[in-house]
Formats: sequence, structure tokens, C-alpha cells
Amino acid sequence: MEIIQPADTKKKVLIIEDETPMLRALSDTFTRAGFNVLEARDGSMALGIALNNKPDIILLDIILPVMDGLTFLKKLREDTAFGRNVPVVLLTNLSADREAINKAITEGNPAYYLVKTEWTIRDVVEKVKERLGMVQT
Amino acid sequence: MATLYRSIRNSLWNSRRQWLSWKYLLEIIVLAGLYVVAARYGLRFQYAGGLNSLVWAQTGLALAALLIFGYRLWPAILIGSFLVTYFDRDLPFLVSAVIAIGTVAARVSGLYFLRHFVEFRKTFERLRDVFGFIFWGAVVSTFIGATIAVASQALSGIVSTHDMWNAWLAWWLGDTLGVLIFTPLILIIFRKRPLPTRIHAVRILEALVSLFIFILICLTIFYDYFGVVAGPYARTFLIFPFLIWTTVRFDREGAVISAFLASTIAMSGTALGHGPFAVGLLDTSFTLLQIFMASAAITALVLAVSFAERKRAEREVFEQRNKDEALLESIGEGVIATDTFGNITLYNKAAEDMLQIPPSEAIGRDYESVMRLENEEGVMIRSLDRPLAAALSAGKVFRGTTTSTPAYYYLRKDGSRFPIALTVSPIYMKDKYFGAVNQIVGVVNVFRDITIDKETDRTKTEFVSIASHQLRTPLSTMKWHSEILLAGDAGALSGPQREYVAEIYRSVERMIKLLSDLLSVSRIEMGMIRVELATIDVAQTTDEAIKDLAAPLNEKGIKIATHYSPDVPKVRSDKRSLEIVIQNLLSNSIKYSPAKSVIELSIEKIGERVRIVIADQGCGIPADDQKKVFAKFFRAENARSIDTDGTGLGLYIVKSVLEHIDGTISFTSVENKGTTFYVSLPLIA
Repeated sequence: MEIIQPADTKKKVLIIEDETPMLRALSDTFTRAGFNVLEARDGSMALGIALNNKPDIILLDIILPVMDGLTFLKKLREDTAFGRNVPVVLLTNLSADREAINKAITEGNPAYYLVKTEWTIRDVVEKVKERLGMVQT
Repeated sequence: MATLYRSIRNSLWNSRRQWLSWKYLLEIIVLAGLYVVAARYGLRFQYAGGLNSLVWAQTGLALAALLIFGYRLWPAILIGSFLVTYFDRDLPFLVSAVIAIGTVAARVSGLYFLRHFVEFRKTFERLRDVFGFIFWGAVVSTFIGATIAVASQALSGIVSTHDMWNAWLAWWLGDTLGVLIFTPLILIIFRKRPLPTRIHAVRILEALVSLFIFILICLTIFYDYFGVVAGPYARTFLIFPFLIWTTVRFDREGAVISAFLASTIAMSGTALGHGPFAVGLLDTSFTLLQIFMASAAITALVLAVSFAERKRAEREVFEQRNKDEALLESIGEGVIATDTFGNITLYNKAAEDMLQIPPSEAIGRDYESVMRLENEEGVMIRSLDRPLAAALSAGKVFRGTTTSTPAYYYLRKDGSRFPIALTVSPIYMKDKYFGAVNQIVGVVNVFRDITIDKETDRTKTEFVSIASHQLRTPLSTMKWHSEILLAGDAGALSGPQREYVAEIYRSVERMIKLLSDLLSVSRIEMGMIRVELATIDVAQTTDEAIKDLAAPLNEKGIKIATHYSPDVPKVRSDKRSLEIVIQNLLSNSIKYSPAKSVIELSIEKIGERVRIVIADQGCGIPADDQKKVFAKFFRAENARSIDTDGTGLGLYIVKSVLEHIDGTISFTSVENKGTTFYVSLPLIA
């Protein structure tokens, strides 16, 4: 299951999550799965990290302090060529039943919209790998 | 016949107590007295050898009295009539008695005819009353009296057979005129009328002047008062303009008083040898005069009643319209009606308050310039796309009333906007002459400001959304952490440890499922189901749903055999709803199927619909429970024993969600054999 890769070819994943236990679970799992994990606890901090480190993929929570996930996504998409193209997986516990969320989804063009409770952490990793073309499904 | 006899007997015959009451006796005496006085008035205009009168006022009085007080006063007529014939006209006792009985019979029959054949109203409300009165009261009932009177006189030899016809005609015409002139006079003068709220001096002056002029005209015609003016015919016709004037201006009162004055003046004038009718033999001239008076009285009465009837109808229409307008005006919702050209014909207060456009700038104008309509994005909606145009052309009712449908906004005068719930309906009117055809004569818009409703809805949605987020956060943390433990990522677990953690994981999953079902139910019940139509591939959506169920499928070794018919087109529907339906149905099938069984899933096009059939070999639904499976929280007994964790909400959600996309669901099931669900979707929801 695990794919062992040399350090320099490791894919970089930025996990933006304010809940420590959740962040830890994700971070540990992705590290074990062979990713280079970057962490951010709020949208504003995440934006800096994203633009500086150019991760291969971003896992984004919606409800965040300082700058929420939807604003982050909007700003990210506005900024640079990198920002426009980097795949973003919305990983949240908010249902997509509000106007604002729907709008952001249409405009922010995320790779996936995953509701945390509906997914096992292993499936989340699989989805990320799938998006990055790391596994054939 | 027996009934008729009984009814007449009952009305004529008082109880002993009533016969003897002083009040009754007094009434009889007064009426009999008045009868004699009225007869003396008539006798002033005697002719035909003193046997007849031009006009028998007492006949009119007697009928009026019966009409007002009822049958019971008949003895007064009997007494009055006898006194007049026996004493004033010196007829023999027996003849007088027979004539008196004939008179009573004539008056009583007059009342009977009017009551039964005309449903006569004493105030002469309707033309029916006038014509019924003329025919039954003035012509037919008098026929009886005249016939009995003249027959008794002929039999006793008072009237020779030679004179009989003339005598009969004179008698009958005298009675007829008496009824035509005096009965309405009495009934109208004593009619109940609303008390005047104030005295109109001008009106009284007009009445007095009219009376004076009318009398003057009558004197001119019938007394040659200002010398002989014009020839006899021209003079006679002169009465009509004035008769019509008093009738039109003073209603039925004007008519009856004028007819009375004209006839009295005409008779006395003619008797004194004046006027256009004083020609040749007195008999001939009086007959001519009688015919003239009858026409004048009838003309005045008919005219007055037609006028009164029309005025009343106009007033009723006016009042009804006022009431309708007041009603529409007071409705709390905005009401705007237009004609078929789109010009505003009705614009109520609530519409004015909401749009802030005064009625003067709305009524008569084109609706499009007054009710400016916008969509959510602020794009103005033009005439052909407006609900009003559809209502007008297709005769369809448009309802944009819920906050879940795309919102419409009206613009106020100042350009600001407010969201509306709008119902636009064509106004159908039955064509008066082609009753069956319903024609669209316009459109009515009913609308209300839903700013507050929208706000409430937004708050509700937000609450559900945040609450669910808060509940899910700890659940997902527990789920993931127990998952990591189970995966051995934090070191291998001992057998019992593994079991305990697995139990935690299972409970968390169960909690998550329950939460998600409850959320779906609350969304359904709060009307928050959002339907977004898109072109979707049913087969592809189904495949995705199957993929998501890989874990439970593998666990039980169940296979899904799919049969997708190639002619199934893409449909216009809501993808999320379809996913919920297929996922729920499949997960039920998996749950209740034996391990290693096969679930058959086919998609086919049937008519203008797509049908999804999911057939399993599971435990089935007991026949007794089949009616209840779509009910909220219902779980069949056998289902409960197989899977203790279910919420009983799945099929309720499926059915509710399907209703939002015009889908239907049905099933067949045999216990312990399996269940087949049939979902039908329209090609365009």
C-alpha cells in the first residue's frame, strides 16, 4: 500500500486545519503514506505557506480562524499561475447546502468536496493520490 | 280543490275570540264606513241612468285594505257594499245582498290571485307586480264582481236584457278604474319607506311646483281653463309629458298621485261638460274618458316601476362594485390586475405601499413600466419572459411563491428592490351571450414582500448547517483516530483491544449515519431541499454510487449486476438527489441481502421516463408492513432483527427527495425471497 519514494520526489501536501486532533491524524497519516506534509492552522498563514512552498495539493478546511477556507480559496485562485492551478481538496464538515459554499465551489474549482464524516482517512489519502496520478484506480 | 277551499275558509273564518274582539269590530266598522264614503265619491260621477259610476273608488279601497290587512276584513266589504247598494242606490234587499256577496267574492279572489299567481309585493317593486296587478287585480277579479252584480240585476228585472251588455261593461270598467287608480294610491302612500335623514327644501319646493303645474295642466285640458287650447286630441296628449315628468322625478308616489289628480279633474270636468271628452252622449264620452284614464294610470305605474327597478339595479351594481373594490383594496397582499393589453386596471393599497408608486402613475399604464421585475442577478425581465405574458397567452397560472425557486424582485419607484412571492393568474370571464366560452379578459398579479421569509430561511439553513458542522467535528475526529488505531498505524493492537476499538468505530459510524439522516429529514421538512437541474448521465451516477459502496459490498461478497439499456438518454435532473436515492436503495439491498448474493440493477427508458430497477434476494418486506415502509422511522420487524443500527429514515428520505425531482418509487417484495424497487424519473424534471 505504502509507496516509498526518495525524499526529493515526495509530493508536498499542505493541510489547512484548525482542529489539532484532526490536523494530527491527517498529518501523521499523510506522512506515513509518503507525503511531505506542510501544516497551517488558519487561512492567512496558509496563503503564505502555499505561495512560498508551492505544494502539489492542498487539503482545505472551510471554518478557520483569521481567514476562512472559502476566502483563502478565492485569494489563492486570484494570485498566481501556481494558485490558479494547484488542486485543492475541500475537506470539511460543512454540508454544501449554503449559497456561499455553492458559489465558492463553482468559482474555486476544487478537485473534490469531501465531508469528513463520510470518508475514512485512508480514502482521503486515496483520493489525493488519485488526483495526483499516483495510483491507478 | 279541497285544499283551495280549506285555505280560503281558514283565511276568512276567524276564531270565536277574534270575532268578538273590540279591535276587530272597530276595524270592520271603520273600513265599512270608509267604503261608503269612497262609494259616495264615485257616485258623484254617475252615468248610465244612475246605475254606474265612472270610477268605483271603494273597489280600489277594498282591494288595498285586503292586501294590507289580509282576508279577515271581508265582512267590512260585505257590509259596506250592501249599505251602498241598498241605501244609496235603492236596489231591492235581495239584489243588494247578492251584489254584496259578489263584491266580496271579487275582492277576495283578487287578493288570492295576487298572492298566489304573482307573489305580489305591495310596494310595486318589480314590473311583475305591476303587470300581475293590472291583469289579476284590475281585470280578472273585477270581472267576477261585475258579472254577479249585473246578472242579479238582470234576473230581478232591474236591468233589461237590452241594456245588459252596456251595464256590465260600465260596471266592470268602473271597478277596473277604481282598482287601477285607488289601490296603488293607497298602497304607495302608506308604503313603508326609510325615514328621510334630512329634509331637502329644494326637493319639497320641486314637489309643490310640479303639483301646481300638473293641476294647472289638468285644468287646462279638462276644464278648458284658459279657453279651448288646441283640438281635443292635441289637448289630451298634453298630459303625458307632465305625467312622465312627475313619475320620473317622484317615483311611484309621483305616479299614483298624478294619476289620481288627473282622473279626478278629468271626470269632474267632463261631467260638467268641459274638456275634450265632453262630446256627444254622456255615456259615450264617459267610456272614452275611462279608457283614457286607464291608459294614463297604467302608463304612469309601469313607468314608475321600471324606473324604480332600474335605479335599484344600478344601486345594487354600484354597491357590489364598491364592496368588491373595498375588498381588493383592503387585501394585505399586493393586487394588480391588467387588461389583455397589459394596461393596469386595478392597483390596490398594498401594491402601492410596496412599490411606492402612486395609483395615478399606475392605473391605465403599461404594467411593464410600473412593475419592473428583476431576477436574482439584477437582470431586468422583459415582457415576453414575464409570468404575466405566459398567463395571458397560455392561460397558465404562474406561482413563484417559495424561497427555493429562483427569486423574483420588484423594483420600487426609487429603484431599490424587494424579493416577492408572486402568483399570476389569467382572469377568465364568462361571455354574457356565449355563456359556455371562457374568455381571458386580463391577468391578476398577487404578490407579497418576502424579505423577512428569505431572512428566516437563511437563518434556518445556517443553523442546521452550523449545528451539523459542530456535531460532525468530534465524530470525524473519533472516526479517524479509531481508524488509525485499527489500521495498526500506532502499533499493533491485541485481539481484545482491536475488538474494543472496532466497537467504538462502529458506534461512531452509526452516529454519523443517524446524524446525516436526521439532517436530511430536517432539510426536507424545512423545505430546504435544493434542486439544481443539470444534464446528468443516470448510468454514470449509478456507477459512482456503486463505487462508493465498495466497502460494504466487499465485506459481504455481494455483486451488483448492472444492465444499462443503450437507449437511455441523459436526463435533466438533480444529481445530488439521484445519488441519495440510489445510494440509499443500494445500501438497503446490501444490508438485507445474504452474503455472496447478487443484486440486479437495470436502467431502461420507458416512454418519456427513465426507470431504475434494483432487485435483491434479501429478506423482503413482510406483506403487513409494505404500506408503511416509506413512513418516517418505520422499520419492518425482520429488518430490525437483521440490522439493529438502521434509523428507519432511508426510504422516507428517498421518497421525499424523489418528489422534488418529479420522480416516483414503487416496489414488489416477497418475504425471504427479495425486494425489487422501481424508481421512475422524468427525462426533464
